[in-house]
Amino acid sequence: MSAPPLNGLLLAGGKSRRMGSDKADLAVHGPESLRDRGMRLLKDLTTDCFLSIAADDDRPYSIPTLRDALPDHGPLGGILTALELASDRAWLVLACDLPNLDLETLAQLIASRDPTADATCFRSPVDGVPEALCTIYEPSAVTSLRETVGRQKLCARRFLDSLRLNAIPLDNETALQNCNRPEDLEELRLQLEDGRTEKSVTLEFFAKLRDEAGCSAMAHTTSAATAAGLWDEIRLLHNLSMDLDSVRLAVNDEFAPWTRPLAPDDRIAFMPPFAGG
Amino acid sequence: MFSISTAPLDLSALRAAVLDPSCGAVTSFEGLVRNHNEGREVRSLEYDAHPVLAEKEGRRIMEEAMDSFDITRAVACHRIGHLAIGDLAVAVYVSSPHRRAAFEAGRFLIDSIKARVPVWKREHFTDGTSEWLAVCPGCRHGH
Repeated sequence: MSAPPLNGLLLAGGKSRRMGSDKADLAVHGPESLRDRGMRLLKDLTTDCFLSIAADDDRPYSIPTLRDALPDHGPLGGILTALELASDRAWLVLACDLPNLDLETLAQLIASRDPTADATCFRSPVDGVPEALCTIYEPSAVTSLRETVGRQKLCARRFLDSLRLNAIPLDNETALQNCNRPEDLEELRLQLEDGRTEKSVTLEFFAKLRDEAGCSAMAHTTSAATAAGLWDEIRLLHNLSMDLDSVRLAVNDEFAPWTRPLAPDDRIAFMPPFAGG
Repeated sequence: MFSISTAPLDLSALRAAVLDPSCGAVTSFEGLVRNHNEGREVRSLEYDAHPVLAEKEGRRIMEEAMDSFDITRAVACHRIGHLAIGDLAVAVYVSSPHRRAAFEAGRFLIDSIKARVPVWKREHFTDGTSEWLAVCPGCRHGH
């Protein structure tokens, strides 16, 4: 039995709350928007491809769109709309905020596709968890998806865990870097400008973060360009309980913004919200 | 003018540091370790800080107070380490010619120190457990 033909879906129906503006409009590599870039990649690799848009999105588009059947059901709502529309097709689903995603990485995913599984995806190179941002869903996934969405369980990553998954290693570790926040965009832009260079830095942890990291200071080597990029690495590596919105940052004994570029031998202090007096 | 101390605070020395013949008013704030928090009985409090940054930011706060209020002198000191119930954790002294500025500056100083200086406290409860404190919602409103 031959594998079902592959359609493409670019998820662009999100509210981009943390970014503050529609992520799909952002241009990272040159003037091409993330929306146009994602559709261009899909066009080369799939039979038919569509832009997944929110139920209430009334903007004019010159490309084929698939409107969410249900409002406010997140990416899983968009994926379900697609699977139900063309139940004889598999769907290569991409998040729109992956500026470094390349043809080679997608070709590798397609080549490793297992049509007898429910889905094929990559494992995160940092923590080995299946990546929900770039996934091939087979027609067989629709039953689980319908049930999950029906129960209002809308987390894509947890949904993946419930499927018969074919998860493969990711060779290009920058391919699935995404940009949710302006700090992520700055990290990606700086990496593009300066290249990904390895730097030795010292991390300093205080109070609850010190308990969670297991020590007050440690040497660390990173390819991150900004403190925000470094934080994302460290948060996953040490399973820290806080995030950028509450942690305070100091570099070399002075307060610094998360977009601060890193330099070799920097001392980076991660501090929980203050509680003195 | 602002310091972090591992030793018990010397209130008379802090007071003496702000006295000046031109000042008719001296105000102070003392932050003490109390025995309860959110319904739980506290045995002791452990204070931690980023010492270099705490002193830098503390000094900046003192300078802002000197610039914004008609005061003559101000000092503040925050203790770190393991403190018992009733121990002094932080003290602020202000002097000025007249009392209004001294009261207002004192309030500004302790509110700013609590919001901006990198200090943390861990509560040790009588049941043997301990917890790093999150920011108290009341502190944001200077309660």
